[in-house]
This record gives sequence, C-alpha cells and structure tokens, in this order.
Amino acid sequence: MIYSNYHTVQSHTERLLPGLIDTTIRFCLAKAAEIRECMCAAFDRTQTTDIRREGYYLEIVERNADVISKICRSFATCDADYEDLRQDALLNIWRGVSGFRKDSGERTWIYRITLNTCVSTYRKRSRRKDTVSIDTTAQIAAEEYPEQDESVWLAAMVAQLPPMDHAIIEMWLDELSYDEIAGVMGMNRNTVATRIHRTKNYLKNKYQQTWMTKK
Amino acid sequence: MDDKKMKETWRRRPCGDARCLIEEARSKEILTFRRKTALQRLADRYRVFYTVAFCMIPANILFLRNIFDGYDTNYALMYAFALYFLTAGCMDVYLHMRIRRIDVLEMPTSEVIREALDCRKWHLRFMMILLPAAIALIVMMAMCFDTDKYVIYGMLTGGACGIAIGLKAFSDFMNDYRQLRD
Repeated sequence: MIYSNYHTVQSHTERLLPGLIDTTIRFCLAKAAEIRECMCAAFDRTQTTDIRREGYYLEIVERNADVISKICRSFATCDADYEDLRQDALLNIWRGVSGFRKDSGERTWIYRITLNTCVSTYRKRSRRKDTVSIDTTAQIAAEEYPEQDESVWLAAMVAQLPPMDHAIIEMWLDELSYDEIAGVMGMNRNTVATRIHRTKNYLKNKYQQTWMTKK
Repeated sequence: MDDKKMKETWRRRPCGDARCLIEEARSKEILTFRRKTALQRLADRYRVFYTVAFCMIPANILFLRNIFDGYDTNYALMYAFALYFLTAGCMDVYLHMRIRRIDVLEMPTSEVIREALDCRKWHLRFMMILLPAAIALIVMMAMCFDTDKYVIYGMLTGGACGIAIGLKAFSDFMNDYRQLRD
C-alpha cells in the first residue's frame, strides 16, 4: 500500500515538477525584471532629483551670491578665513537645499545658514585687533582706504561687535525687517528692537567721536 | 549719522567677489561633500583627542610598569596618570557631543551663538583644570625618580620649558576667556 502510494506520489512529482520548476523560474524572472525596472525608475528619479536639486542650489547661490560673500567677509578675520567661511557656507546651503521649505523665505533662509556658519566656530581675533583699540583699528582702516573711508570704518566697527549684536545689526543694515531678523535669530521682536537701538546708538557715538573730531 | 546714512554707508563697504563664489559653488569638492566644514573638523579633532586619551590609559600603565623595573612600582603615580587621561578623555567626549549637537541648518542663530560660545568656555575651563594637573603629575614623577640625578636634571629643564610655554598658553586662554565674557 505504502509502496504503491509512493509510486503514485513519485509519478505525480515527475509529471508536476518540471512544470512547477518552470513556473517558479518564470515567476522569479518576471519579479526580477519588475524589480530591475523599479530600480531603474528609482535611479532615474534620484538622478533627476539630484540634477534638479543641483540646479536649484546653483540658482539660489547665484541670486544670493552678494549676500553670502558680504556676510562671510564681515565675519572673517583674514583672507584665508574668508575663503573658508565662504566654502563652509556653500557646503551648508548645498546640504540644506533639499530640506528648504519655500514658505520660510529664501532670503531669511540664506541669512540664517550663512550667519550660523559664520558664528558656529569661535574665531580668535587677530593680534593686531587684540592690542590696538577699536577706534585705532577703524582709523587705520580709514587711512588705508580713503576712497571708502566711512564704509570701511563702519565695516570695521561692526566686525568688532559681539557675535549676537554683529549678526543683528548686519541684517538691519541690509534692510531686513524686525520680524525677519527675529525669525532668523529665534528671538522676540522686542529684544531685537532693543538690541538694534543699543548698537545703533553705540555706532553713532563712535562715529561722532571718530569723524566729527577729524572733520 | 542718521539711520539712512548708516545704511547707505554700509552698502558702500568693500565686499568679497560674488563671481568667485558662484564658480566655487559648482566645484566638485562641495557638490560631492568631499570637503568638511570647520565645525565637522572640530568635532573630528575632539574625537581623535578622546580616542588618544582613552588609549593612553592602558599604554601608560604598561609604560610605567617597565620604567619602574628597577624601582618599586609606584601605584599612586600609575593611578594618577590613569585618572588624568580618563578625565581628559571624558572632557573631550563632552565637547565632541556638544559640538555635534550644533545644527546650523535648523537652529536659530542666537542659539548657535550661545552654543558655540559655551563650548569655547568649557574648552578653556577644561584646559585650566588639565594644565595644573599635568604639572602636578610631572612633579609626582620627579619625586619618584629622586635618586637619579640625571633624570632630575632632565625633568627640571623640561619643566622650565614647559612652565614657560604653559604660562604663555595660560595668558592666551585668559585673554580668550575675557573676550567671551564681554
């Protein structure tokens, strides 16, 4: 009985097995082709996204190149430092471009990333700035660049401010609104207004001392 | 100088070359993330420091055991060295973690400034703990070898140079620290 059953199973298996194997192989091949197609599509999509992302990043940089380089220049302590800051800012913009939400405003986004890049590492002030007083540094700068005297003086004065005031007054001088500044800084609007008022008065006093006596 | 004039003056200030920045934006170094930011490099440096400090604990024990081959093993000195490197390693781990937490893409600027200045302050505080501790360790080591006059001469010379360099470093640290408080 068992013997005959065994033969029946064996004959069935012999009959069914090639078909079963064939079906399995066909199924596997079909699935493999499907997966391959999916992967190709995903790869194409990634490439397209990457190309789109790169294009968008370059567009943003081109539109805001002036702002980025001006912020980096005002925080840099020397030319090498400026180049480093510029590259770091670009790298951070490239890193963050895929997560950028347009509703937050491109301008403030650029300000935030560039300022964060500039203030995130502590930079030692140069020896000259350590030993020479702020007014003398501004005076030297004014003497070195007579055609831009007042603007060079102002840039030197802003660069000497503590990082928080430096960032705030830089945005205010670049015509950002109080709300935009508060958004970038993550501060209360009133605190921003107070800080701007204080720094403005400080700069005006220094201007009086340096330029009015000179004139 | 009124507000309007101040803004006009600000617009006339000398600035960097924007064209150069656009060319730089297309560079492979940036697009392929081959370059690291100053913040990432700083975090990496702290990682190297704490790895070295933790490796120094067993290495020092082995080293001191060999040195004391002819002498009685000074366990106090051995433990002091181990404690010193353990402390230094833990401090570097702490600073590494705090620097890794700074997210320039998401955090508001005021928070980034506060974090960066705080990290710098802690770095200086740790240095102010570790520098005197290193001097104390050297003195302890000198006391262990007080029978060998040449070792003592060598240590005194090294100690004098070390103190001179240390004082210079200390005055720099204090200068930095004062600037951070202002």
